[in-house]
Order: sequence, then structure tokens, then C-alpha cells
Amino acid sequence: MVKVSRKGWLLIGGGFCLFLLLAPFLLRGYWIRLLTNMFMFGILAESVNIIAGYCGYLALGNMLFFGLGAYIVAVLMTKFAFSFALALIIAGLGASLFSAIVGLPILRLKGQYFIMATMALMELLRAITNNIPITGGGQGITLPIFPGGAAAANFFFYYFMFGLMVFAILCTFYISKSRLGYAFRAIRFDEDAASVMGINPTPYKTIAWAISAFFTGLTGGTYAYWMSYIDPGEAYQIMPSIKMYLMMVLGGRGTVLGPITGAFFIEFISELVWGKFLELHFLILGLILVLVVIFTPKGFMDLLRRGLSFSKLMAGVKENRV
Amino acid sequence: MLILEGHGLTKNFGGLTAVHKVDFEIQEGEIFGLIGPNGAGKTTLLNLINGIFPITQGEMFFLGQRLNGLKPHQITRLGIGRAFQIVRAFEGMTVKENVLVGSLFGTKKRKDIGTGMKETEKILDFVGLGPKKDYMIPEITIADRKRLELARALVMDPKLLLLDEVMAGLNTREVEDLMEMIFKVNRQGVTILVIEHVMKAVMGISHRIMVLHYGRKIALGSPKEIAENEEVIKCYLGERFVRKEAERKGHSRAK
Amino acid sequence: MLGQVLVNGLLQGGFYACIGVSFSIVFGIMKIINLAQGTQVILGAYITYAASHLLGLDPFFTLPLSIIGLFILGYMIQKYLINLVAKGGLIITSLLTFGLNLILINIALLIWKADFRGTNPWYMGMSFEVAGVTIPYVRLLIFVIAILFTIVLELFFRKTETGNSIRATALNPKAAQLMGIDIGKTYCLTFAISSALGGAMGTLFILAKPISPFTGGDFLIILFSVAILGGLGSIPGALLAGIVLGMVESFSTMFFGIAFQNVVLNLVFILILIFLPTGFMGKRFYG
Repeated sequence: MVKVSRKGWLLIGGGFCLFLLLAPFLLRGYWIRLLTNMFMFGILAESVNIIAGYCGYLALGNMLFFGLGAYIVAVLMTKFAFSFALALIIAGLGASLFSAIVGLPILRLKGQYFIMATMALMELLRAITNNIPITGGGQGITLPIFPGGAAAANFFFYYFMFGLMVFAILCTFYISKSRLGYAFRAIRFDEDAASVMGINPTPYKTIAWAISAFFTGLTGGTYAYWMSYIDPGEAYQIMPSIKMYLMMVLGGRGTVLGPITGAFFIEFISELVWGKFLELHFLILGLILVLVVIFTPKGFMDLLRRGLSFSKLMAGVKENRV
Repeated sequence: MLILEGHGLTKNFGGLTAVHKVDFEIQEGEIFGLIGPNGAGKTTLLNLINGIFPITQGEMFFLGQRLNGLKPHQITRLGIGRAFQIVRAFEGMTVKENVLVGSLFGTKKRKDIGTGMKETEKILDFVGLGPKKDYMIPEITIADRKRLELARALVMDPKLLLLDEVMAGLNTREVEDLMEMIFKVNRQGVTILVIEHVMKAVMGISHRIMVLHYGRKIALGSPKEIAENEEVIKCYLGERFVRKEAERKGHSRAK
Repeated sequence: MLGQVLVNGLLQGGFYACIGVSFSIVFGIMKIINLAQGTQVILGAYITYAASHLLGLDPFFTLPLSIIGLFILGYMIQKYLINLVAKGGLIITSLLTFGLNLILINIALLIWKADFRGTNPWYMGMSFEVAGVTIPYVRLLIFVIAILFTIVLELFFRKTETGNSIRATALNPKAAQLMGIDIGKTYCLTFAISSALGGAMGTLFILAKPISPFTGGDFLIILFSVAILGGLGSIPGALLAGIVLGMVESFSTMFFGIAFQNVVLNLVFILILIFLPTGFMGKRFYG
């Protein structure tokens, strides 16, 4: 195997960033949209990483904040003529606030119960959205089209998503180095022991989920404006939720850049697969899920660290086997 | 001066009474031993002190302050540190980070990471884990894990230190090392409540000992008194110990 | 009117109780959320669909086929997939069962396409009336069979040696292992029983309603609710929970209309989690 030094990684990373910054000047619209999509999943996976990867609470229905953010932006822009910027800020904060309100009762639930609660919460929001007039019900809402044409829109949303992603990465980096990060991780590994060591779990869990909801809400709001159309089935989906978790696990739980790399990798192949084998999309995604959790439950960086050999791969599998 | 007092402490789990009307007082500066057979309610009592379980009945005071109804983190910050029986280190964190968590959150002062790190290093050197500070938890031995538990409790600068079977599973030398450390901590003015299965250790280090049996207090006194208490000998120390003790006495008399 | 709503709720509730139990035995014993269970039910329904169309069997007589088919499938899934990650924690097992769900849906899509399929036996639509309440024969039979299966399962867990070893494993896997119980095999058997029960429920379901490969997803909230409200692994609790849920659904449809059914069911589930996390029976696990 080729060993890459620290300097080497920095060089590769720097080069890649430079490429991403210049990409809209070099590539066609299709690739720009694909990259924007990769950024979007990068943010989503990073958001999930904060509550699940760092804090250990598996909000499997985290897409609920995506839908909420999307609908806040859609309703505010169409029914109340808000500007995108203002509507988006309200979407982010609104998603955060909502997470804090529902978080207080359901963050007390442990493990499996919390997973189910977040899934039900997402279904609940979808069912409500489907049935109230202000959201347009099942018909969905058409948002104002981005002024200046398709090319300008591509350009704008590319850089906007990129900026959001960088913001999310910086935020996660800051958390990982701060008191917050230590508290989150302590809670993830052993909540009782954490509280005996002086950590009050409730506010920390609430903060973790609120940050996660904030980024997910912002992403949802941006997506709604980007697509200029949103409906309940699209906004509240379990599938992207699962994908975010897959990306996080593949890239490495509780690491700053892992979820981003996982997102790039999965979105990239998912796009290639989607294009070529439309009928097998579920099957292939399902197989990837199964293979990833069996062979790289700690992420591919862990796999690389242990060395890529068949026997080591099987040794890794043995760890979780009964 | 009294550091910790319990009055009529009772804990029920559903229909089961794990701790029944236990009274005790711990003097500041002493080493107080807590013994009893398996299932006697020792760890439950520690969990009551920590606030992990709410108290069903009775009252508890720490330096005069009522502990009933306080959350674990609040109790910890009053100055009660705990080392767990089953090592509860945060796997996936390094040795240093494990201790750092206690330093950051376990005291009343709000500390930044740099200050916390300095205190952490000091404590790690004290318990002898300095060279292993960057190891991950699965990479260190049982003895080191017990030291880590002690370090995690000490870094919170406790006035009262709860040690739950920190010597279980260690060999004789390791036990002696740890006892040495506990004495050193005690000499710095820290009161210690120690639960232990290793009899020699408890008898050797405690000033006073309380014995629990099926959740009830059956004796409280100096190690010598406990060793001679008939009820304790019967229910806890077991026949074998009684026989051995009798033999030993017989020997010394013969001499 | 009220009588009809009550009877509808009760009949539906028996079915809910049984699919709920099929989910909650895996949940209670292995602490695994089987997100593929809904689709396993649908696979049972497809077996019935295929057998009744290809072989001309009466749908009720395909029950053994869906039971055996899903038992084998469940055993294989547990042995070759879930057992490999069983100690990996919630996130890993949940992702695995979701991946499995996607694979099963895709297979169903390839074979049967996305169209709705149903059975139409000669007795379909026949019913009798008691005190002004219409009771379709099929619904009644579904109810009776579902309750029967649930009771048989309860007896299996309480009275047989295998059942007892499964319960012992649920309580304390390590101790069970020391007593000579093969955990891997016990898990396989548990999952196989859960799948088989799900498959049987699929057969019953397709008698009442047509299905598509995506229908399985609609069951999830029911599965969750029965598992929690019934108290994990308590079968009498699950029966009660299923019936309560059937009633909730039937009354919410009467008061708010079918459109709000999902709002009510999900809301009720969240409220249960917050206020009644140990369910009716107050017990969390098998024992």
C-alpha cells in the first residue's frame, strides 16, 4: 500500500479544495449539480454526526428538520414574500427551536426508543404537512424561481452549499476541540458515568441536537429554493436519513471529515448507479448498506489503518459477531 | 466534623428492598470501609450517594447540605468523586481524555482545556499512568484501568472519594501499590469511603467499617470490633475464615 | 354506527397485535429494530398471491407456504447477516435491517412490479349481520387466526424448552451462554419465528387489501406502537395494545377522516413513548 505522509494529505486536500473552488468555471452544468448535491449530503451527514456520531443519540428521522426547513422557506417566500436570506435564517433557527422543544421529552428516551421516536416524528410532520392548507397539502409548493436564469442558479447554489458545508465542518471542528465535544463524547460512551463526572446530560444533548437540526434545516431550506418546488413526500423521506447514517458510518463516526468523505463517496457512486441501473437502485444501495456495516462498521479509515488484507477484514467482522 | 451522614436510608426497586433503613456517619478525614456479601446493597448505597438512584426514604447530608433530589452531576460538583467497580472508562477516548473530562466538568470552577490538561497530567503522573496517557482504553491492563478510575475520581478534587472495589482482580503487588496511593490521598485530607471484597485490604486501611447484609446494617465499628463480631463472622466472613482465625489464635496461644 | 366502529377496530386490532408481536419478539430478545419486518409481511403476501394464482389454491390454504417460506428466509437472514453484526450496536443493526428492507423491496419490484396485487376468492365480500353491525367473514377469520397464532406463540415461549431458552437469552445472553445455550442459534430461531409469523400475517393481509412492494413501510408505526405499548415481549400486552391501536385507528377515521389517520397514529405513538414508556404491563423485556 502507498503510505501518504501528513504533508501529502495536506497537499491532496488543498488541491481538492482549490479544484472545488474553481469547478464552476471548469465543468458543465450536470457536474456542477452533482457536486452541489454532494455538498448537500456532506452537510446532512455532518449534522447527523454531531448528534449521533459525537453524542450517541441516533436520530434516524433527522430528515424531519430538512423538511421543516424546506417548508419554512417555501411558505415564508411564497405566502409572506420574505427574501430567501431571511426565510433561510428563520428556517435554521426554527428547526433548532423545534428540536429543543421535542428534544426535552424524547432525548430522555434511551437507544432504540429514541430512534423510533424520531422516525415517528418525521412521519407525523409529513402527515400534518399533507393535510394543512398553508403548505399546499399533497400538491406541494412552487417557490419563486432564482432570478437570472439556470446558469446563474447553478453558480449560486454551488457556492452557497459549498459555503454551508465549510461552515458545518468548521463548526464540527470547533466542537471536537472544545468542552462541548468532550461532554458529547462522554455521553455517547457512558451517560451515567458522564453524569457522575459532573456532566449534566440534558442540556448537552439538547445543544447537540439543536446544532444538528440547525444545519439540517438550513440545508432543507436551501434545497427547496434550489429545486423551486417541494412536496411532503420529497421533504420528509426516510431514505436520505438512512443515507446520511451510511455516509457517516463509512467515513467514520465522531470524526470531523469522515462524514464528508463518506458523503462524497456514496453520492458519487449513487449518482453513477442511479443513471445506469434505475431498476436496481434500491438493491444496490441495500447491498452497500449491508456490506458497509458488516465489513467497515468503524469506517474506511479504520480499515486502511488496519491494512487491507482478507484476514484482517475477517478479523474485523469477528468483533461484532455472536 | 461529619462529612457524610445517612439517616434511615431506604431504596426499593419495585417490590425489592435493596437498602433498608441504614444510618451512618462518616467523619472528615477517615477511611470508612463498607463490606458485605454479594447483593448486600453496597453498590446501591454508593449509587444513592451519587444520586444515580433516587432515595426512596430517609435523608442524606454532605457537609450539612441535603443531597436528596440532587442530580449526579450536582452531587459530584459538591465534592464527591467516584471510582466505579466495573470500570466505566469512555472507550474510544485516550487515557488522558478520560481524565480530562473529569477535570473539565467535575469541579465547580469552569476551566478551559489548557488548564484541564495541566491538572490531568499531574494526576496521571500521581497514579503512575503518565507514560500511557495517549493509549486507548482497550490497550491498557486491568491494573491500569483501576488506576485510571482512581485518576478520574481524583481529578475532580473531591472532599469525599468513593472507591467501589477498585482492588478486585489485581495481584498482591498491585493491591499494595494501590493501597499506598489511597493512604497518600487520605493524608492530603481526602475522606475515603471504600467498598472492597479483598478483606485484607479493607481491614488494613479502614479506620471504621460498616457491614451490610441483605440491605441492612448489621455492624459498625473498628476493624478489630468487626473481626470479632459474631454476626458478621457468621454471615459474611464465612465458616472458613472463622476456622482459620481460630487456628491462628490457637497457634499464638501455644507459643 | 358506534358498534360498527368498535367491531372494525377490534377486528383490525387482532391483526395489529399479531404483526406487532412478530416485530417485538426480535426487538425484545435481540434489542434489534427490524426495519425490514413490514416488507417481510409483504413477502408472505406475495407468496400467497403467487400460490393462489399459479396453483389455484385458496388463499387461506397458502398459510403453510408463507410460514415455511419466511421461516427459512428469516433463519438465513439472521445466520448469514444479522449475526455477523449483532454486537455492533444499534446504529449498525438498524442500518443493516434497513438495507435488507431495500433489497427485499427491490426483489419484489423485479418480480411483481410496482402495481397493486390482490386476491379475490369466492367468499370475498360475504358478511353477516349482528345487531346492525356488519361483519365480513374474511375479517372475522383473519381476527381469529391472528389471535390463535399469538396465543400459540405465548404457549411456545412459556411451555417449551426452546421457548424457555429463548427467554433466558433475552434476559441475560452471557448467563445463557454459560448455561450451554448457543446464542447464535437461538437468535436464528427467534428471527425465523418472527419472520414466519410476519409471513402468515402477510397471507391474512392480502385477503383483505391489495398490496405493492412498498406497502410494508406503512406497517412500521403499528409495529413500533404495539411493541412499546404492549410492553416488550409481553404477548398479552401486545394483544391489548393491538386492539387499542385498532380502536384508535377506527375512531380517528370516524372523527377526522382517513386522511388524518397517520397524524393520529404517529402522534399517539410519540405520546406513548413519553408517558407510558413501559407500556400497559409495565415490563420492558421478556421474563
